[in-house]
Amino acid sequence: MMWNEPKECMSRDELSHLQGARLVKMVERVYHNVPFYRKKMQMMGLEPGDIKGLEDLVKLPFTTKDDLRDNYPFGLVAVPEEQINRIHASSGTTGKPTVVAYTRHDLSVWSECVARGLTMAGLGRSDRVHVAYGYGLFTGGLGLHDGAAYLGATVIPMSSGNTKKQITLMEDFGATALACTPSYAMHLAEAVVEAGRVPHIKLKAAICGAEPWTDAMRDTLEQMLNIKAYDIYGLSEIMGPGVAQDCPYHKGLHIWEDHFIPEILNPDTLEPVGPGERGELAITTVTKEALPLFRYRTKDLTSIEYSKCECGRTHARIARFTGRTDDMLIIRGVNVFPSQVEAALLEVDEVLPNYLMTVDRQGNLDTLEIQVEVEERFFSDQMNQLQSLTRKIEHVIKQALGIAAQVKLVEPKSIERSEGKAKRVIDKRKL
Amino acid sequence: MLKQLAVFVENQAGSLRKVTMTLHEQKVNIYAFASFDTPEFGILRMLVDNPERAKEALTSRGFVTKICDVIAVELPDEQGGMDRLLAALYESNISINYTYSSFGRMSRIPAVVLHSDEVFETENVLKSKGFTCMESLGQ
Repeated sequence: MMWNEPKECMSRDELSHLQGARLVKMVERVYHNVPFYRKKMQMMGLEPGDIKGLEDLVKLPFTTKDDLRDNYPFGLVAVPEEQINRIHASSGTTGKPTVVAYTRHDLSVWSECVARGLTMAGLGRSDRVHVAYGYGLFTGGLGLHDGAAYLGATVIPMSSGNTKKQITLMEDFGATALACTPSYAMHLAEAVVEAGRVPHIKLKAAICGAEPWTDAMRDTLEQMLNIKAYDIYGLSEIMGPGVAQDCPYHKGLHIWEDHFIPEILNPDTLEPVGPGERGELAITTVTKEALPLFRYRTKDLTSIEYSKCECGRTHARIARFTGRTDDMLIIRGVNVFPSQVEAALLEVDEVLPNYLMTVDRQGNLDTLEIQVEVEERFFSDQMNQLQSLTRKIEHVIKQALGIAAQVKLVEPKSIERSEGKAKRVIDKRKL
Repeated sequence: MLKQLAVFVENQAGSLRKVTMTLHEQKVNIYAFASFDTPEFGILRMLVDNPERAKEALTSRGFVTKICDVIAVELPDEQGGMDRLLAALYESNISINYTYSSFGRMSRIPAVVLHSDEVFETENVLKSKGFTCMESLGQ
């Protein structure tokens, strides 16, 4: 089943032509409405007229997360304020979040992209979609919510947390689809199996994203709940979940190329690499009104496949992500940068203590432990003071990251240093 | 008042030994020793004959230490002694943070080591109530 067959199955020629035409219009609009890009293009000696089609995409400047941060909050917005219909935000590398804006049309494109994915997962009007992504500034909850509503399905806006209640209502409301992070889906699945409720739930599909997972995890999830599971990809800078999703053939995630032009770049030279070669994914948004971005560097490593898929769709497929080009971690669906932990520790004590973040997966939930070397200036002979210090650090870290971490005080010099430089992160998850 | 040495130790096999080994090498004599633990870390509190030297030696071995004032009260070995001491503190509205026990090396009299937020004031109160506060457990 397809939501928008003419678009999803366009020939490569038609698709390239559409992308080119949309790109030309976008560049013209951005040049006149976004001083940041105008300045960048002028510095490169580039005028809107120089972009005549898809082949000229490589002439455009790149955009990075830093550019969004430098223009916080609305510096890159390309439409008048009254046309902004929604704001979302994701955690930034330091303090301030990355803010994104949408017009009414942007929200409708987003909804359609998600609806295409849900249809691809075999869902339709008669389905009930249990959305267990967090609601709020994070794009996960409202993204899936709007997409499922656009599809005409019944939306169950659960948000995250309270596993027991999730299971009860999933059963009572007869949810047929679950949307959440893969690790939370696994956690829910285990709880359902443990409670012996598998025969009582009506789930047939799970749409999981916002963090990396593996084929082995998908197999386990599918077997545990007797469902089909799909991988949905997105990032708030580009739109949110639904930029790409895999079809029942699981041969990569279809990226909706009529809205997003993907490029795979060599992370060192930033030159495009050939089809099938691994590199950093960059995306140009050709239909976004409020926050159009040229060649946004996602820092996600993947490869791309342009051949027509067995499902009949022609839109290119990006492979499961194999890593990042920066030090960002995704913990319980939340983007975490070691620099945020550093900033939080500096808030507690003016001098940065030596620390080590250990990310692990216990059962199916990500855990974050932060070891902090005790130093004389904050050591006390009283247990309650050391414990309240631990709690204080845990509190600021929770504030900074949005997820809880377990803080453990350790002896000085007990954190291993490699070549004189302290190692900051150990990721024990096998993904 | 006495100088107590507190050391941060992780809750794992051999961690206390590393401390005692260091003190042994430095010929520091331990008069009183109490360890307090949580699942992850512990605080080791000690009264020693030379706290400064002990601190220096432990710091050079990478330990985090702290010297602070505590009180050692003589408590003759008779029934109700501890209760009398705690009653005196309670009546004076003094809260104590922790206690442990030892004894005077020369006097052979048991001693209760205690810490409160206002060590100086606490000691004065106890003295005024007839308790004997020691200056060293070596006496």
